[in-house]
Amino acid sequence: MEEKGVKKEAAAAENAVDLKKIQRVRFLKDNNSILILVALLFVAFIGVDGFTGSWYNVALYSAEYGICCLGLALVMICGNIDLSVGYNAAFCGVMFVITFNHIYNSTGNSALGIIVGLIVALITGGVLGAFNGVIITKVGVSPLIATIATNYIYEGLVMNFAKTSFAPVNKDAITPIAKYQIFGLRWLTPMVIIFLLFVLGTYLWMHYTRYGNRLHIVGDNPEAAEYAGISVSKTAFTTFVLCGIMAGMTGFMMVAFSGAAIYTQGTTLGTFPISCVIIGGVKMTGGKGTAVHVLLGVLIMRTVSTMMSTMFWSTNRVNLVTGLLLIAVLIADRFTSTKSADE
Amino acid sequence: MSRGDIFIELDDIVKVFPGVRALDGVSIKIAEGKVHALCGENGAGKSTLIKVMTGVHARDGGDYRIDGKTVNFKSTKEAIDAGVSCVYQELSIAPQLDVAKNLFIGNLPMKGHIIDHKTLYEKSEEILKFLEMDISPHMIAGDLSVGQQQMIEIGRALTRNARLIIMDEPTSSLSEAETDTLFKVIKTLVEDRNMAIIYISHKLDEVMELADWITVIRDGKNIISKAKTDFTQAELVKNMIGRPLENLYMKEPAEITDTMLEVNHLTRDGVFDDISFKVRKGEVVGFFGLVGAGRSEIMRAIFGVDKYNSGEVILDGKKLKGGDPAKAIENGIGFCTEDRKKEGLALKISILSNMTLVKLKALSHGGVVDRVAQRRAADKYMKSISIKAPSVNQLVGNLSGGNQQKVVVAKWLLMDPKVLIVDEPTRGIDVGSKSEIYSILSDLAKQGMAIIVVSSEVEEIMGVCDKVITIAEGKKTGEMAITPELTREHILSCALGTETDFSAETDGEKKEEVKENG
Repeated sequence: MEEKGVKKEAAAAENAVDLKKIQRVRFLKDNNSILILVALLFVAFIGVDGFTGSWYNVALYSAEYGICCLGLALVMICGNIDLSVGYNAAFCGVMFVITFNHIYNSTGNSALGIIVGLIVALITGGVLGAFNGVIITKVGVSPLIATIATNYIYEGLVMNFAKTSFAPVNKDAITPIAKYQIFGLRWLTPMVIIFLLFVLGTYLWMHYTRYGNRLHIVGDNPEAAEYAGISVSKTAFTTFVLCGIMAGMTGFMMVAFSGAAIYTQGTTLGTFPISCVIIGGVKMTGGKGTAVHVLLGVLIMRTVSTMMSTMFWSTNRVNLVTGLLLIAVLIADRFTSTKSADE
Repeated sequence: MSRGDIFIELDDIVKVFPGVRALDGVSIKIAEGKVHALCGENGAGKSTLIKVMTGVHARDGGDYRIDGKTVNFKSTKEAIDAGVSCVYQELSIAPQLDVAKNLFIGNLPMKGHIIDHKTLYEKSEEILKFLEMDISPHMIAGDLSVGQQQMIEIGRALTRNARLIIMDEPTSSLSEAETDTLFKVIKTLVEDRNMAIIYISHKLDEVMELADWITVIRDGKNIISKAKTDFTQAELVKNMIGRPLENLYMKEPAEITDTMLEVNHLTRDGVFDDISFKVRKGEVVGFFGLVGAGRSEIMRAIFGVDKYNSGEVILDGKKLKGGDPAKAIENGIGFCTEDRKKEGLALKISILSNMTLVKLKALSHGGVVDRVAQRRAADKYMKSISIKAPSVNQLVGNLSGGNQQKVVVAKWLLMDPKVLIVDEPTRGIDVGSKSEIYSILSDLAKQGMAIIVVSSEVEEIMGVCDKVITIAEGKKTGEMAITPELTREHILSCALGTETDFSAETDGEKKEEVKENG
């Protein structure tokens, strides 16, 4: 018996060393997007002529699309997917412009127009998100197929209201939200601050509130969640609504940034949020990732595109490189495993 | 309330599913500070009873009282709040969350509306210490061993102020050391915290060790319910299966002839080291060791799922190329894996499709499956190893554990393997099915198949094998013929690495010796 005890202790000591190592590997694996971003920025600043003058675009473009990436991440952490984010956002942009124009034309008050327009955009996004949520969590349609379908529907809605480009009557009242340089810094505009607030808010919500904490459990092991008294369908539904609301915010940002609701932006946005979310370290299968990962993912994607536009590369080359980068990240993820033999 | 007072009563509980009366008037009484064992074969109604108790199913009849008041739980949450917690047999760990969040799943400590992370991790440390687990609460649960994950599930019940913890087969994936710890924990909970435990296990010696009171149910009915001290193990088995079980292990002597599988100096760095052994036709060789000793890994390497760094595997005189399971199957190795649900079976498809999965190539002509031949092949084994199901079209997920295991075995038998490797063949299977699996293995050996049985139960190894090879920390520590003189303790100490014994290494011809001991 005594020998057995000694043996057990020795095994435990060995075990402890192993666990430390596992934790280290785990940390690197889960946060590899930091390394990617640092490496990219290093290459960009050292190797790309003109990047020192154009890097502020990383911040601006990240802020423009970033909020809907956060929303999508919530959906994906819960183990679902939303492919309708692009046209949801585009339609919310249209709704914003309609509301703004209406109020501006009747009252001449652009501040009121912006506020009411924004509220309408957020509500529109939330309703479209809830529509996704009902089809997926109540009816039980697979999220992939459901949101491909709703993306078509939302595209139809956009085309119904706006042929190609649809501008607010007084766009000068709106564009400062995207363009006004705070403290004269080119990268710091209200839009960037709004984006960062969303990142912070999402992070805190998921880290500190009981509801926000459910997302990981639901995405990781829905059965365990149910047995612990957490409603999987309610939680998933909430993420679709939040994703819709954040798409609404993005719709507003796009109008502020380009001065108009542009029909094709639904397509431009397309699968971009998915790439950002995944490259940042959120798992396609759910259960993993934070708002910070999404921020990193957006920054990585935007650094790549800014780098290449600084070098005057054409869009098709940019897309090629972006795709390859995404695959490289996924491959790297496959090969850094914390378990050696059994995976 | 004090120890021994009855606080939960179930009277005449009835639960009807379409076509089945799963519970047909079961009554039990649970007392504080006592371990109440629930015994019965798979399908006897134990799981249904638990699900009624924990609010997963609503009962169709009878009365369920806690502290004298009738309760009607509509969700597991309500049952948990009332003090009834369950550690399910199927792991319900969230593998990407850390240990602390798994412990407090659905029940995070709060300060107002904000999660109290400090308390969360402090309390988790306490629980881990109580469970004698030397891990950090920040570890990601998926990085832990299956045994550790099981302990986390048990810890989860402790976070919920449970008055009753139901444990469904808690030791099925624990090592011997972990089982010891669990027993200690259970005794502390019962004696010091006055908790009640319902303990469900197929391992009857565990039941006899732990329980204060034993209830046997069969076909949804109470068969017998009395104090442990009034039971003998034989009586227990008799009541469970409804007939006396003469001999659980029906090993008949088989003729052991030429070497079929030869493994020489097989090494995988850091996992196992210099493993050599031979298995002959008609021979059943047991591999015994603690969970994590490397037994399954050796088998995976032989089969080709894992790679190895050096050494060789020779099958029927032919050297196998490593790392190619398809080649191994073609050459005649069958491998019934340890985790049948994860690695061995597709639960959502039929018995027929599962059985003929590896055989499909031989059953088709030019890429088109010959449905008639497929059906004929499956029917043959449905009968010959008596899989209990209405038809071969039944979904495997609807079968009992024992019958699922038989489907896995049948799948490989269809391939006519020369060597059959079975890893933990009876994990989570009731006594009746166990005995059937053993007799299938014995029959196969008689037909001249070479069989390797990996097991963590010494009794099983001693009952079904001709010889045993012990593995400790990736090294071979013994190779012994199973003889009446061989003791359980001797095998165990070899598996712990404190002794070695290579008395039965088959480099020469020692047939007679081995054959006599079947």
